Amino acid sequence: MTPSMELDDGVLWVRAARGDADAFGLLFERHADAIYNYCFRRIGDWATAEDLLSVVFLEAWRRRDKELPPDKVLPWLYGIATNAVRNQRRSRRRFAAALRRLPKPRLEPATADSADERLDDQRQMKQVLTLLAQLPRREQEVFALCAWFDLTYEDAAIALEIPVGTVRSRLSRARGRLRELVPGFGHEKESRHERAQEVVEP
Amino acid sequence: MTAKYSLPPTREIPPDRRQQLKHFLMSEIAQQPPRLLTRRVLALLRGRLTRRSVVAAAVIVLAVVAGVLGSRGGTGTASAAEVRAKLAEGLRLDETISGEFSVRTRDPGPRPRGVPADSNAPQQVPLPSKFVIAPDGSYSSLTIPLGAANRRDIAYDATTGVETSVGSIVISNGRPVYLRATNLDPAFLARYAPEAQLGAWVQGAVADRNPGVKEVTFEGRAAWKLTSSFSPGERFYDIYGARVDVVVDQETGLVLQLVQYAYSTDRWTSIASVHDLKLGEPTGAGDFTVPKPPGAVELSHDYGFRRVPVAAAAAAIGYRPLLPTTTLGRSLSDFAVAKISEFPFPGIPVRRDIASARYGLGAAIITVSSYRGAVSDLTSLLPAVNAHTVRPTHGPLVGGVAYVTTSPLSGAVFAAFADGLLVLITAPSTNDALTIANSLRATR
Repeated sequence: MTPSMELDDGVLWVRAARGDADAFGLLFERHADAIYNYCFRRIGDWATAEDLLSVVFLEAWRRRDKELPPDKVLPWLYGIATNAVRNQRRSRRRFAAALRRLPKPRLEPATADSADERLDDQRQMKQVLTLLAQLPRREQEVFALCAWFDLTYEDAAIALEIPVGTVRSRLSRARGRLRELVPGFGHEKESRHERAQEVVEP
Repeated sequence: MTAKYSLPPTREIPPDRRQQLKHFLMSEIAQQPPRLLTRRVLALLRGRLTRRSVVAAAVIVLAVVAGVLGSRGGTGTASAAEVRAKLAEGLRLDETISGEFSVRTRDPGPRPRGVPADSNAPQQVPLPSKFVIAPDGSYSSLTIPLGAANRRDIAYDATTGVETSVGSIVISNGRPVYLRATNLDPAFLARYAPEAQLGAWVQGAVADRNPGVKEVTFEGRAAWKLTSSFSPGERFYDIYGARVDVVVDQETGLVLQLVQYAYSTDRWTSIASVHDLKLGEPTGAGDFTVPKPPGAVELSHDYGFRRVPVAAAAAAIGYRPLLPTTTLGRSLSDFAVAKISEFPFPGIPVRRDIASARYGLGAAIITVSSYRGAVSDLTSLLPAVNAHTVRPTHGPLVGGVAYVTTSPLSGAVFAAFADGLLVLITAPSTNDALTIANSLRATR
């Protein structure tokens, strides 16, 4: 591990803002999985999540003059990802030329099992998203960040650029609605441990 | 009705794919110029302004504004038009200039209601540097102090045609690369000059506004201070902020200082200055070569351009290059061709059969390049934002696909595709670029 890999996000972000691509690359290494999974859970498709992951980091680089508190780089990236998911068409159009250059995934037989698992993931996620789609979009966003990715209220507020109080109220409403839809709901914590839940099918 | 489901587990990106994605990302961002002071630097701007233009058009200070600027009293001693003319004179750079460049920033405070979140974001802080710019096109900009981390040094020796730089490439283990580049593209010199960015700003501000003018002194030099204010919603607001002050040297027309005010007109947030400006200082061997830092990995790169007479270009690249018959009063200052030209950065497409010309000297230049490619290559030449379709009305580009940028700050970048050729033009304004595009002719 090089010394620079031990630098915190804030230092790397400042370096990236000064044009240090390596520092930005380290931020990618550090947070790519989180953003990748977030995008997947918001849209239910791993391939699209890859595209959006690239969009998020290209957009982050484009906006690297953003001043961020040292420990808020990841929440801010979640915010970019939220916008990318929300405005997929516009995000893709902005980076259309770049995405055309995005190499296709290599097809490797050794990963066939993994491919099956990922197909299962997608089926499962579609069900969850079908349920979540019954909430207003803004509540979905708060719920996904706080319940599925453990963001604090403050971090979610930074990601969504809304007041902390709004995060609280939206999350509360989201939970309330899900309780109505899913008997015994209250499983946000459990969801992180991938426990099975009873949900309403539309 | 209810059904069983489980939230799928989180998964890591497969390692190979992860490497692919990272490589892709690094390649993409390597194609973009470093953003120094502007929020939206056009992708091809970096080739438009020479390093000389850099300081030519810009320069700034870091001391406390009030402490450095002393009003000589009175307003309206010169009109904005007169200052504009002097600035144009300064862009010619007809004597050696040297000094130190630095930028200072502070928190702009809370964003006012109604201002979009990504408007008027705090600007980047270029590293302080010592610069020298000579009339023959040689220049150097060295980060201060010499041992600074993340340094970005660049120098070009016009007598040898060699550009040396540190910081334009950093290899993955963090070691700096000392890049020695030869046979450069006439339209693509001086890519990393922070001063050039300032020059673009100032030109845009002065060209498009009618600022108030006041006489001041700056480090003992007689100067004009131009002040412009902007409101949210104005196109300059996102770029400059609520107000910008520009200090222009009365003797040379060089920009000595740029002060920005992000959200309010009474709280500065960025001051860029040129200190210790010297004119006509003698230069010697080695002044235009970046010293190689200890531990740096040395890399040589040949861009592949050969200086040939225009009449000999067709034999070299297989077609008659498209050059303008209207050059806005500028003379051809550099012309070269390349069968193939690669960048020393990953991910940037190779260009083939290139003819590249530069007109004018100093910062007041226009460039025209053509090379073989596909229409799809256009998308990588211009950013999605700030570009719009145009239709050339005369010359070989009629009927082709053409775009031009509209940024008021970086001048115009025009890109077109016709008959298998990509054409790239940089010029001070959109109208200039279109005029040049419509005057293109295949040379004999």
